[in-house]
Amino acid sequence: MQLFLTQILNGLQLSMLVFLLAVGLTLIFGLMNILNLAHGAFFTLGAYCGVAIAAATGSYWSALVMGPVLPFVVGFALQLLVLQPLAERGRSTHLDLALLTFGLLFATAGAVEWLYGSAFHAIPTPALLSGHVSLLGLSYPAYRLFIIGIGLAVAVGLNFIFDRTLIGATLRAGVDDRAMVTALGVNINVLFAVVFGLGAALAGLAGVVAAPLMSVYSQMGIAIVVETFVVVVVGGLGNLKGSFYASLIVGMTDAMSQAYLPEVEMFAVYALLIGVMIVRPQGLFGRVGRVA
Amino acid sequence: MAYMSRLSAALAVVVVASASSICAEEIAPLKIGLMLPYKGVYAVPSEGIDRGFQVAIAEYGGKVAGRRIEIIRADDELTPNVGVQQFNRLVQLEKVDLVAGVVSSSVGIAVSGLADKAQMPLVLANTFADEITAKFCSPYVARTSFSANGFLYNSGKYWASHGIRTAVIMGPDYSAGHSFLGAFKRGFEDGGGKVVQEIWTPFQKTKDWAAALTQASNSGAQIIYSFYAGAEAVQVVKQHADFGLRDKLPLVGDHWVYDKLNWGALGELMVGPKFVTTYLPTVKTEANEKLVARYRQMFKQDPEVNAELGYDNGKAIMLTLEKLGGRMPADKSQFMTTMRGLVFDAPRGKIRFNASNSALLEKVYVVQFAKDAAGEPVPQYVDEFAGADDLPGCTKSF
Repeated sequence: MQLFLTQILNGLQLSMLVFLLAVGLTLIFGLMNILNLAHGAFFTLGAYCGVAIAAATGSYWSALVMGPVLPFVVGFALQLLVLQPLAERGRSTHLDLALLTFGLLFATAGAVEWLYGSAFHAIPTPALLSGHVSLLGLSYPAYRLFIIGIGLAVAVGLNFIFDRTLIGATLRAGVDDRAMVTALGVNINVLFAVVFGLGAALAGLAGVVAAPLMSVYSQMGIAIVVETFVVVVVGGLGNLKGSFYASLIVGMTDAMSQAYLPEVEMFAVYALLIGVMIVRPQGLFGRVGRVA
Repeated sequence: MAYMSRLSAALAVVVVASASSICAEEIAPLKIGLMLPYKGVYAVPSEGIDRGFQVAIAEYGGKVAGRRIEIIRADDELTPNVGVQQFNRLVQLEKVDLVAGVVSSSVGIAVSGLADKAQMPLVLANTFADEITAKFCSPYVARTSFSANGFLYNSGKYWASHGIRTAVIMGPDYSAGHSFLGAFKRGFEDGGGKVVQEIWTPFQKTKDWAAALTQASNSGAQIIYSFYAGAEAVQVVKQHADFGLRDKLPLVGDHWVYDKLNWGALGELMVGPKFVTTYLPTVKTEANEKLVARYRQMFKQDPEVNAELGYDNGKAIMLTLEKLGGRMPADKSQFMTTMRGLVFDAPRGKIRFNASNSALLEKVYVVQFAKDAAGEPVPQYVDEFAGADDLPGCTKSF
């Protein structure tokens, strides 16, 4: 029973970390239909920025706030100065973008390694969160509960922006009918770049949040990309709520299979993906009719 | 007439001398392919091995019997099929005389099959899986480190005789993980202990050890005995501490779990736990002091376990080449026969080879890290015991 409860918490914590990555990709890939394999690069960038800031200021909290800034700027610039002009020239098929962003993913890893070397880095767990919390008769690391909290906060915040604000409405309109929104006087290119930057910043945030838990190294973003795509596809393209639920399903599947069926752990998430693709190709929470 | 003959003799000397100097220049450098996983989870240990290897070559001024040594590096990406490609590239395109390095046992098993077919000397630096010099042994493959059984069988016995009765073993689910922890388990249970649970995590895929650690803490064992290296070691040690298990269920392991090169990422977490290691940088032997001095001069830091293994790898190759006069014999198995006959003092202790080309381990140290005045980690001697023999299993004769 104790194992089961701990695994629920572990699963939740993993889900929220995956969600931070997946929700950004949902905005970029699902909503704006930009195939972005470089999403892992923003994860790496965020983590390294966090390491640098934490080392310079000695504060985890300033790393948490400022770490996602560089990923935002890079994401914003990438969309506005590279991807958008390419799209205008008709060079934005999935294959074009896959090649470009896949190259970016590896170039980032190489650049980080050139700057920082191949050593492993970490951000120390902040003192405030380094203890344990007693919960339902078990003792659980406070920092992992904090990750769950961050994930939920981001989910609620994004949901609010997307559903209840003018920016959200404009974005949804822009995705559906770009020409019309432009005709209404909205600079859609800048808006898309901001959203791309936001997605990148969330991946960067995930990088900082993961840094006290995992080791930070140049290739860390490469492994994570595939799992993130699984979540986005299972959740249904472009569906924020879908990516939340899909993160929960994927995170829980992973945590539970690890504890109770370790033989299938590596396979479980992909089996889930295959199952979803056969039964509901639009994703568990996707609308019918959109094809990526 | 006498004058003439003296003159012609002198001339002959000049001609021979100049011809031999031309010859020396014309002999192409001897090429060594050095294959390591330079990127990814084992990047840091690989850098140490590479540096140790360079020190061994530099000790000879980069030459053996007047012939220059050229190192050609290849990245096997810790993946057997990439290792196979890189091995073929080194042999067919770069035309190397021998291949050295290799960390992962899986890659080691894959390329030793190729070396055997191509009759190409392969001198492995790490690849500790027992079967490499047993079931998969080859007259063209040698290992300068040691086998998993050589290192951890007696470690298992050591902990069993030092108050530990029950243990959980936890490690990456690939050949080296199974070899190391298997060796520990045999020694531990032969010594009267009991392994109550085995936890295997997917190699290179696992980021979160929460589930594994939760299971371990529910097992009721006294310790977790584990083998992890590189990025995985950092994560395991950190998360083990996060779950508050350091006192309740200590994480015991070897010099890769508590790798000095991970000091930057782990810091204080490395101070305290006891672990087993094959190399103690503070040992006062001539071989070790030579390595330490040159390593400091070249890299402005002290060597550690991985660097020492890289050094042994390079040193064994250089000693063999020296005996062969700097030439690779036409029958390349002679290179291996010569290497197998070597006995030399390495920084870790005396190295000799068994009948299937596997270097043996003279002793294993038990150490723990303490901080010196400058705040740098220094391994402190606690105890030592002898290394065990390799497991049998090589059926080829060579």
